[in-house]
Amino acid sequence: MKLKLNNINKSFGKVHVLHDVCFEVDSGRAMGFLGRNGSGKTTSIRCIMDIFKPDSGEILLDDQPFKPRELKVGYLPEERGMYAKEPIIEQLIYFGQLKGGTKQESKKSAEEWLERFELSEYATKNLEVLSKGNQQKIQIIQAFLNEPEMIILDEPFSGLDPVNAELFKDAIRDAIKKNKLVIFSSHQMGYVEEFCDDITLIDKGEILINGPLADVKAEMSHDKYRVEATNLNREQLKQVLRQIESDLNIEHDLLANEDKISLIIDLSNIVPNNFLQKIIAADVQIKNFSVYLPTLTDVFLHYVKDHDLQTNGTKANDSEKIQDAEHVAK
Amino acid sequence: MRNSGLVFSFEFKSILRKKSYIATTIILCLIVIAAVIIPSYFAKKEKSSEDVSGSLPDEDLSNTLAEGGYYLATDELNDFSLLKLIEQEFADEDSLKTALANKEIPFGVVFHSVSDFDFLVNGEQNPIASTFIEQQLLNFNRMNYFEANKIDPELIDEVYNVQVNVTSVDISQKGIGNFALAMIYTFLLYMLIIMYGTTVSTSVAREKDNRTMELLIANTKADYLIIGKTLAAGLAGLLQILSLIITLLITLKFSGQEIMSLIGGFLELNTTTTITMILFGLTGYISYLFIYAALGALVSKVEDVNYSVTPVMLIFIAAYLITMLGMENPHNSLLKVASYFPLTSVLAMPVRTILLNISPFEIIISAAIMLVSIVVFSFLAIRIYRLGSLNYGNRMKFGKTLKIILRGEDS
Repeated sequence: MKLKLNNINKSFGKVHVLHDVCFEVDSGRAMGFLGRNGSGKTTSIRCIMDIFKPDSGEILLDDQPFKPRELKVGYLPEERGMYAKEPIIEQLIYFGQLKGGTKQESKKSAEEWLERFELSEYATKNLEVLSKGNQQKIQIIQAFLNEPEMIILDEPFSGLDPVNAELFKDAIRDAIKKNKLVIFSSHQMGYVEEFCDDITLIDKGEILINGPLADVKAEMSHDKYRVEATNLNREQLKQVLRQIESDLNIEHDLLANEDKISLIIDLSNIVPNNFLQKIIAADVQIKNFSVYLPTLTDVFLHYVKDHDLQTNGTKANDSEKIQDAEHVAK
Repeated sequence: MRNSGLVFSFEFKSILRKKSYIATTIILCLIVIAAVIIPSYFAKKEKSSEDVSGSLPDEDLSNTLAEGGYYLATDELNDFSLLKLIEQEFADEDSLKTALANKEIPFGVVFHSVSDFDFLVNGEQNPIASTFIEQQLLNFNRMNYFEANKIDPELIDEVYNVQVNVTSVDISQKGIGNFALAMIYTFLLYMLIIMYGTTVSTSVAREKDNRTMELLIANTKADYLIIGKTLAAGLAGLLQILSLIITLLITLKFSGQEIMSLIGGFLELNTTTTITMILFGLTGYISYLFIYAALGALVSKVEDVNYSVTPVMLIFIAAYLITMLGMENPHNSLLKVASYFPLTSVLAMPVRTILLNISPFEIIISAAIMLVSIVVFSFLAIRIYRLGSLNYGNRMKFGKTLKIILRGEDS
């Protein structure tokens, strides 16, 4: 099963929220949908769920128009909500039936998930009697009812403590194993990195990257190395790098990035051994010289900053506008 | 449509489970029971006291007469049975007056002839005894006359007691039982629409408030949601009314009242009136519930519902007042106009049909307007609901929302 978004555009009033959004997701893989607040993640997800109609573009499932209400889709919206004053089991059965399951199937599935999330004893209680964390678990359960073919989770980890997050992670891992198509958006990069085979990064309504996480990282780490010295701090090491740039007539900046521990250098068109010889000759005692493997946070920051630089002045404050448009104007 | 059924079933069960619904139904049933039993209890008490007090004057009068005295100045009254009730007979008029002056007797009667007597008192008037004696003397004379002329007194009695009934009939109006029916119809529908209209709009606003709406919309179409919710609230309201009617009938039966005589007026209903009541009642009720649901979708907080529904509530209250005032004079032109306007015809047309003999042509025209309007109202309500259901920001303005729908910008 392949879900594909082709050139989706969506505006709310005069605010253009999604600009030719394109990405694809395969079943059996989890896709992490990343972006800043107000970048267009929730609007894209709502378009997939047919809650918002796109102004243009198409959403296809295996090259056919995708109709989410005709497929079993488990959906956990960013803005959570269920009936506070209704018995938990009743509303889980109700949501299971709305998704197309029979009453028996929905009841069986609800009971199994309540058992798995250690909430069976509350089945007949009203939702409002549960703690906030347990209410969150009930909302997660409704997304997993009746073995959905596709699971879309918008900020699923917010509000979960580490123990409950672990229960939830197991559920996601099982879904991936069962060849389900999983999309989840999150600000918590650690969770995305843990599950996701693919990532899609959206900023100001534009898709910046979409593809396998390993490829994205490899592309970003291409010719990049991590350097750390024992006898020099980072500022002193930067001075040495500038000297090497001039000695070797390097036209680009050697310094690609830095973090608290080390510098990340770009050795494009440079033989690493030549660079090593130069740096040793400069009396630098090497503590670490290794291939740079970026974290997802690095990937995120790198692309978003780049996009900011490209769009600076033309799309300033777009995120705020989009966020407002999603919630207020229509 | 399967999902409409699911929404209906869930919402209906949810309403029936609510403590407020159960409590309201019980309280209304208790009010009905009290309204039947209390007047019936007082009526019985009054009747029994009337029975008792009916014998008291006779007993009092007998005692009063027994205390008095008389002097018979004529022999014509020797057979006058009343004299047996007055204990003391005086030998002459002076001794009678002396006893009266000494307050030995409260009154005295001097019979001069069969048609002439003096009724003597000493300061304290006694008109009851005086009138009673006069009446008895009159009867004595009549009976003597009938006997002497061989006339049957029962025949005379019959002749004098023939009753002539006069009934004014306005052929354009129906009976008093229909007036009661018009009152009950108007009141019940008013109660239903106000109570369940608010229930529907609050329920929609609450789903937006607690963010359940997004889950619902993701799983089913807005059209199915509004249809299911509206019909569930509608049926819950009808069920409550049915429970009140059953309680009324059972209470009437157990309180020993004649149900058939009480509801006799209703049985005069003809087919046209019955169909008009059902058609206008149901379509009007459902139309209003759709409108209330749509207005509930325009707000994002439960506390804003009142602002949103006030305009339609005012229109309905106006319909109620026009109809109630129109019952005094059903030929009233305002009631006639109201019976064609869809938001007021729900009450006005059935009430006119109940009270007046109006032509079926008028009913058909009004029904056609009503049926067209329910299609328009439900279409608009569904579109407003769809548009409003995911707007979590400020309260949407009705006019602006309508413009968006009419321009087709909502799809």
